[in-house]
Amino acid sequence: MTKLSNVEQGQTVRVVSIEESNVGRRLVEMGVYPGRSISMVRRAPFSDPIEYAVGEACLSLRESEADLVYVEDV
Amino acid sequence: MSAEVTSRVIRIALCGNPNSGKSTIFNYLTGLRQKVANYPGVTVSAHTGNFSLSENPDTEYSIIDVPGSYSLSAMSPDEYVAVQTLIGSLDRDKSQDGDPGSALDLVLVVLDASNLDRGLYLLAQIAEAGIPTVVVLNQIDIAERRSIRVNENKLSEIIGLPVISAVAHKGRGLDRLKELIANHTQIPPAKSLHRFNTDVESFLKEYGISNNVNQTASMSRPELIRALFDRRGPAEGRFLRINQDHASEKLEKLRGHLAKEYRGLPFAEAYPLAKTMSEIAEKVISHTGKKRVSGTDKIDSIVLHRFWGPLILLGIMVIVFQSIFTWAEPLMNLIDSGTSAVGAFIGSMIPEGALRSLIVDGVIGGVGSVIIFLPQIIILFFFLGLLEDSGYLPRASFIVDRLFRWCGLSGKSFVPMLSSFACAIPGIMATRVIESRRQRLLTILVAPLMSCSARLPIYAVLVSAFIPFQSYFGIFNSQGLTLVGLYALGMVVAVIVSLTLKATALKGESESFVMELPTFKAPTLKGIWIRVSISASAFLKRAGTVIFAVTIVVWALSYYPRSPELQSAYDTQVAQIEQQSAASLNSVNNSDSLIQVLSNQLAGENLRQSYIGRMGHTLEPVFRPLGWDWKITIAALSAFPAREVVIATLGTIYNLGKGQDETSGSLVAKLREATWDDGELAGQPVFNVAVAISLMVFFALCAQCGSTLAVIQRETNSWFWPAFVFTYMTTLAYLASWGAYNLVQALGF
Repeated sequence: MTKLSNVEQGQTVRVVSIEESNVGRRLVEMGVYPGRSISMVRRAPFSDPIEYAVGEACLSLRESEADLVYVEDV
Repeated sequence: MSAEVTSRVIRIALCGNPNSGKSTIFNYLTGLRQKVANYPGVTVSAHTGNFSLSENPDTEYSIIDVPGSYSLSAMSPDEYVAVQTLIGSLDRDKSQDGDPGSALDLVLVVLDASNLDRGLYLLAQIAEAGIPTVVVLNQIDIAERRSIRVNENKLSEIIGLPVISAVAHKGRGLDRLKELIANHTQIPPAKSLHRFNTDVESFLKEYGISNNVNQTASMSRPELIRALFDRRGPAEGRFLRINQDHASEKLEKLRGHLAKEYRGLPFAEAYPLAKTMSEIAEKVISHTGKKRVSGTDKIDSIVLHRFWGPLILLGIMVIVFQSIFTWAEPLMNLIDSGTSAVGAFIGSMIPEGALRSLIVDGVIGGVGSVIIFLPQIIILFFFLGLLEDSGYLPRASFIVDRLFRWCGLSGKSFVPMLSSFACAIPGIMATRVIESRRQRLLTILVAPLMSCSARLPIYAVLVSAFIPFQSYFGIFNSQGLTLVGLYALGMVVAVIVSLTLKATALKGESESFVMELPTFKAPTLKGIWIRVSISASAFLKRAGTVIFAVTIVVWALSYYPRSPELQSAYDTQVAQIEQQSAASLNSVNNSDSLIQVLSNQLAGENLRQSYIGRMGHTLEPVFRPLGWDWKITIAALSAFPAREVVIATLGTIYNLGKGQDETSGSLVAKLREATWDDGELAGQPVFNVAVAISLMVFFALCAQCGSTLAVIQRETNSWFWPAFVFTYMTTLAYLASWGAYNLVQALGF
């Protein structure tokens, strides 16, 4: 198990759990919840935030927010 | 349908995730019959609109565009509006347009076919309200391009509500939507789509309406759900007020259980709901082929590129601001000569006196010099609309987030800040999407420092009149660079202010920045047209009301009181000169210019002893260090309601300070001719490079905009913050203006 922020570009992982926080709730509402596949698309030009693909949506998360999500290899 | 039903207004709420195409449907239904509370541009306030249908010509429909959201949990003021609209019985905020508290007849929920599970999550929360609901399955074209097909009939069967497949921006499916709205009485009320675990369900039952003795004070199921899951939310407060006894302990006990079971209270609602909805989505979605690389992915690999991304963003901003000046110029010249011609024509029809002066100098001179900026406003909103509708703006936030964080802001401040270049009012309203209160407040406090379009008239007139044109390297010139400098000044000061506030008054931890990067869409002409025409008419309305009123007041204060002695002394002198010239026939030209000098002196004298002249002379010492004469002082002070009024006032004052025959000259010419009328500088030009720069710097930083201060008051719900903004901005403006004046003088201009 690792943090979402450590996932490298192009890699796809599965969400295991999310730390309790308002950001965490918002992530669930936007489709990031345990069991979902998520892949890292790219980092922003100035390295942070990071773009992830969940289902058909592309989300932008700051590194500190991606730290709240624990993932495992598919 | 009974007569009773047709005679009243049918109230509809429009809901959906951000980027689901909800605004397109809103615009399609209402056209220009929408209200944006007088504020132009991109806003997130609850827009309302009216429409009627050909199927049902006697019925009036009113629709509320509920601010885009992902759920009803209220983390930000933006989302709170959505809750209020749908649940209705929460504490009503009377300042909201269209009173979202009153009962709804119908809810339209727009789902993005490509992101069905997420849309269903919101639908499930809305369905708890039990209002008749129609589901619009939108953007099926984009979904199809991604090989996703949604079975509309099956979905309708599962959720028990009518479902319409649509491609809203092409108008597909919307006729069926209209049909359903016309027959809204036949639409079933929504039923709960999700059951919580038994503990939660028994809590909802215990405190729900049916079990409460005092029915009027009890809470509905959706409200109770919010009271349970939104810790310290608005619904919780109401729950604790209504239910005394052991309700508080019971609530906390249940919350404790849930938090333990789901490792966080919010997840006790979110996980099961998300799971149920993704199961529904799975049942109705079929994948028709392999997933292809979409156009959006290809575009993103360029516009979000490490190197090209920021360059493209910079390029877009340069193009936008460049076009505002170059494209607008011919139109502005046209309006300028138009108003001058109207002024001259009307002037020739009315006999000389107070009425003619009021109409020509006051109304046409004042309002005309503001209306001229309509083309620039239109071009600015055209570009903002283009960037917003195409889906580029969130990408810009994505790129600049890191930079904005260094300035104490976040990428989410980008849209409010960019909109503030058009007008701080939509900019400040757009801060509602920023979840953190502190971050939002910070953005509100610095947004008015962005050079808005109302400053443009001031810059445009003064730059073209007093900054000598000089070309550098063939592409840059002194006038353009001055303008860039003024815009940069506002931005640099904003960064300094924001960092200072963050280190002092607004200390706190970092904020959330979760944001969607939507699919790129081709903006439609109709969508852009609606944006542009709404902002243009708002601007004209302002020109026709606030600016018009100030213009008349300024005119009256500068016309009255008239001294009959001055007039008769002038008449006597003119008569003398005419007698003399009649005696010696060869000096006709000479006498004409003598009369001209006298008439200028009279006009100047009249203005000096007018009310405004007296006020100006009293205040002149305060602004003398900035290089201003009393006329500029008055013009700047009179611009408190709106910055662009300074130009209207200068137009009126310098018109009145001239002989009557010269009223048709342009403002630029009048300002160039203006001279000091007393003191050691008497007879010398008032304006030079230093004075022009001093005035522009002052207006770049000052808070001379009553509407902005009013909107800050409303958005922060406090009088402290507008007072704070006015004080800090005016102080900075005065100091910077003083510094700039002395610097430019020292450099020898």
